[in-house]
Amino acid sequence: MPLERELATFQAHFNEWIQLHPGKFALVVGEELIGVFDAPKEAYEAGIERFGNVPMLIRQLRPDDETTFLPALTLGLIYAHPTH
Amino acid sequence: MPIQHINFHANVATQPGQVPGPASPSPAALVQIGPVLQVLVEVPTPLAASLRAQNLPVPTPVSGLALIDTGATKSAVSETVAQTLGIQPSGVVNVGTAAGLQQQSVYSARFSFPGGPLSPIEFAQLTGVNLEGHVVPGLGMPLIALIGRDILSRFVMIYDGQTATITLAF
Repeated sequence: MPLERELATFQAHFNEWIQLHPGKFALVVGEELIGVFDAPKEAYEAGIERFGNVPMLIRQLRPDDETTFLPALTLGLIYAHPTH
Repeated sequence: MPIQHINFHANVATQPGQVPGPASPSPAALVQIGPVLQVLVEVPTPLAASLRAQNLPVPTPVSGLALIDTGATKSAVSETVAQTLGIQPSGVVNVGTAAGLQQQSVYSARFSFPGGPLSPIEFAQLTGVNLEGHVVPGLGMPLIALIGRDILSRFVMIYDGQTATITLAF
């Protein structure tokens, strides 16, 4: 799984980080918290500047886990071609 | 505010690989697959700048079509295109599917829209999805992106089915 180490680090420290930086975007590379940012764009820029083009985890510190819904894709509707 | 009209009646492109203009898709495409517009997917600006600073080549943008998907909470990019451009994942996201939640990689990328006045959009967090095999009928161009409600929140969009015209402004 991509970003396995970063996800494990995020989950291990989540309770601590969300207390300190609620709503911010954490940037994790390997097992290190590189920083917290107001927006994912800022986190990405910081990650590229420091590490270059490497896998990195940018995730918001929020109590609920955000879920993305793409119904046309996941339900196969893009493939549907009705005859009438 | 730049305004782009996409007329789905005129200038139907029927040759595979033919690059459509802003008024290219057919009415059948509007009915069958929905509102699409031509898009160039590029490496994000910070990555392009980093590559240039290291005297490394910046990958050539990938051309295709983006579907305006009002059902999608977030915009998405073909994972194959992101990997072709050499963009490393910058997160993971839970995607709701019929079979439950599934984790997908997240990518940063820049979308530009040739042939129209819309400004490029820099995406910090695009969901990587499998769009392999999705070719828009009558255009012969692959679907490589979905424009979701995260970006539509900045747009005014008019979907006029009677005249087969999509108007976008932001």
